[in-house]
Amino acid sequence: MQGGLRNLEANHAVSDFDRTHRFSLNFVYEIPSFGSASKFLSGWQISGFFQAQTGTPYSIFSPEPEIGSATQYADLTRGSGGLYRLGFGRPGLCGSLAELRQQGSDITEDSFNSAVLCSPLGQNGSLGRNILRAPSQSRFDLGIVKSTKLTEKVSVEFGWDIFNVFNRTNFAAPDFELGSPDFGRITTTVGGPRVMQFKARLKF
Amino acid sequence: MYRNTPNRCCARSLRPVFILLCDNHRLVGVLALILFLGISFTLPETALGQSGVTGTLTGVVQDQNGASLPGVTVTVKNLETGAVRTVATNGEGSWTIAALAVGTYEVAFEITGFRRLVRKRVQVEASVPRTLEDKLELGDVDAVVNIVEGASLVTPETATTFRQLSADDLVTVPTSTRSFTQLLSTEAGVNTELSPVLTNSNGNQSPSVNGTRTTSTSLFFNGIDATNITTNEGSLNDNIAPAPETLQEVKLQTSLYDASTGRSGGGNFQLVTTPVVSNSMRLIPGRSRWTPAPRIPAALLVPESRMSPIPAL
Repeated sequence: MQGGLRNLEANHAVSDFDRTHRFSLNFVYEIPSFGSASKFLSGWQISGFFQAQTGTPYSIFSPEPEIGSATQYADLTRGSGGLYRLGFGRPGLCGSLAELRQQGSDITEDSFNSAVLCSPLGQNGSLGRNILRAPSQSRFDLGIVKSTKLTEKVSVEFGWDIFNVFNRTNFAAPDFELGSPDFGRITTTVGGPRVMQFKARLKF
Repeated sequence: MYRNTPNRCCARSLRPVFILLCDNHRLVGVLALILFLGISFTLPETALGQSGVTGTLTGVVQDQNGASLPGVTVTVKNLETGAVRTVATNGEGSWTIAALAVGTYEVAFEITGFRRLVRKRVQVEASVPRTLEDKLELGDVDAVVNIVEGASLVTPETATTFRQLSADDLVTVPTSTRSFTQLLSTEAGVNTELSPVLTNSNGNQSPSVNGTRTTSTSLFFNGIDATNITTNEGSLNDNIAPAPETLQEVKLQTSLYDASTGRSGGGNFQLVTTPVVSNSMRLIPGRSRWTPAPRIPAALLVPESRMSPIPAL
């Protein structure tokens, strides 16, 4: 619970798990051997798993919003509730949402324009909940498998799995905690870099 | 008479204790019996030990003109275990067999005056009622009509939205943490973070199903609710993550599921493990039968000539 107690609209927003768009696809394709009985040509299989989606929403807040002394009154990270605070404090928005969503040239440094945030001056901050979104994500995983029959019952399978084939960097949400040294910066990624693994499997 | 039989290898005083161990012939006979009973009980019978997950087959039988046929004998045979169940169609020509173990079945329809109809390879899935609509042709009952394709993909008996993955899908498609949760997140209405790589956790992903919280998802393991197995919530992050090779079927129901399977508003994962026979043989999906139990090697059997006669009491 954040914001004014009597203001139901203060927390009205999309859910934490909301993703506006999501596309996912997986496939398995057995490469035809065109009638060849060759052990080298038959038994090839390619499979993949692709996902692309928008990021999840996040809110900007401060976990320690109490005003300790008069000098902290105009501090950006203070206010928003004081004694009557239930939960975390939110700053005020002194500008438009479009201005807030303006990103810097390097989104890992400036994922949003923090210059339009201002101190709530001891009141409930006017910034809405979940109004910003983490960057979109996509990843393509690919697997190539060659299975060879050794006998009627026993077959051996060699596989090569590549995760994140295009080595796309998927950024996580930036640090949204007011007063944190990394506030507004993206310091983590999700989904990992390109990773490959080889596998061998004996089926009997 | 038994006690008084002279025994060469035992001292007389020890005989009550060692009588079994000293009499070589009898010992071998007893061991062979134990071995035989042990093998004969464990091999085929464990194959019958099905997981507790069941599905339902239901259907309507009509004649060629579309009139319902009452009194048709419907025989359902599990191709893996050989278990047979029989039911007769009612006055409307419809029939239902509930609580069938998950697997592949052969369904036969038989009534005098009509050709026998056999449906081969009908799949029974966990918590899904499958409907078969069949028309019998007039003719000799000995003439058999075989239908090879299974049940229709449409399940008019249930409105549940679900996606099911077979063991093959689970093993074939690359998933970075080898968790069943990843491929099921491709279902409509399901979203989750990109799966991690190089992680030491169990690699499960707790998806948000139709916008619900990630903790609103429940998990059934062989028909048993395993949702709260380690934490007191529906998150899958700390739950079991069986290797894909051990799973026969994985399903995620996302909406309009039956009250008996739904626990909370989110999705329902259902895991069915591959039944395992002793000798670590397993049923390979796509093959219709269990590999036959191996014969007891001749070396382990005691020839009849060497067995002691059963003593008279």
